[in-house]
Amino acid sequence: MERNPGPLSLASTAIWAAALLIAAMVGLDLYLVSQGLGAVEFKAKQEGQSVYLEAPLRNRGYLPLGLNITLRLCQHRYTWSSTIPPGGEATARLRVDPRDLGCKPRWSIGVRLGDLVSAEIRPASG
Amino acid sequence: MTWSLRRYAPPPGRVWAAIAAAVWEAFFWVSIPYLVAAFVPGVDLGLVIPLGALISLCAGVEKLLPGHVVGAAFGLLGSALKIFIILGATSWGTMSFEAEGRLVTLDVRLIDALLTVPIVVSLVGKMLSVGVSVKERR
Repeated sequence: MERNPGPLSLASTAIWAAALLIAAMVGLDLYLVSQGLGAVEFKAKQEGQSVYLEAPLRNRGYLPLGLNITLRLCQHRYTWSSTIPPGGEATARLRVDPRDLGCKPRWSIGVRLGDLVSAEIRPASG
Repeated sequence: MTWSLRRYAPPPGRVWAAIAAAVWEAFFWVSIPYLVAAFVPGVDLGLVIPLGALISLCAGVEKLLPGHVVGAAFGLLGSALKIFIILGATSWGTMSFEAEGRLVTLDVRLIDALLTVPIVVSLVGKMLSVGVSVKERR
């Protein structure tokens, strides 16, 4: 004789469907954000005695995008962080010591997708 | 006295239900990992495919023997393997891989929890149903 599915079984199926939907949405958002960040290019801009590295950023996903950009030049660290709303735009701006511009840049980027997923991207060599 | 296997054969409807369950689980735990590995760089499938096949088998046996301790045991094994795959494939939610000369560290613990909780709930449900069926037999 076949049994009727119990309430726990129905609950787990419902939660499972919701969890899969959320996971798929986060995966799609991660893909959209990575496509947007892949095209980012920083350009040096001189203003008086200071040099700024600027890049326009756009959140192509549908979750708030928290960004924490760190640039290491010579012995100095320059950081910029902000949260971009879905579909919103921002300009990342790092004020850099002009004497450091000859050094090899080492970027590391921290990404938060609506506090559901966070990622850190940095050079593989450490 | 005659003895025939036919006496123990499950009804055809149940066999089809078991096949459908096995195919459904194979879609989730074999096809999707293959697709992920095809599109995401640096993903190593490792034991995921054989374990996915085992999950599919467990789902089939569970549907074939509903209300039986053996069927429930296979169901429990399938659920446990699903949790094992989710947590193992994501290194307990903090996985890292190398792509295009960069080290990417992903923190997906919340997603892991979201995916694992319903499996744990169904596992508890199956354990309770095993208890009920054993009591009924007594």
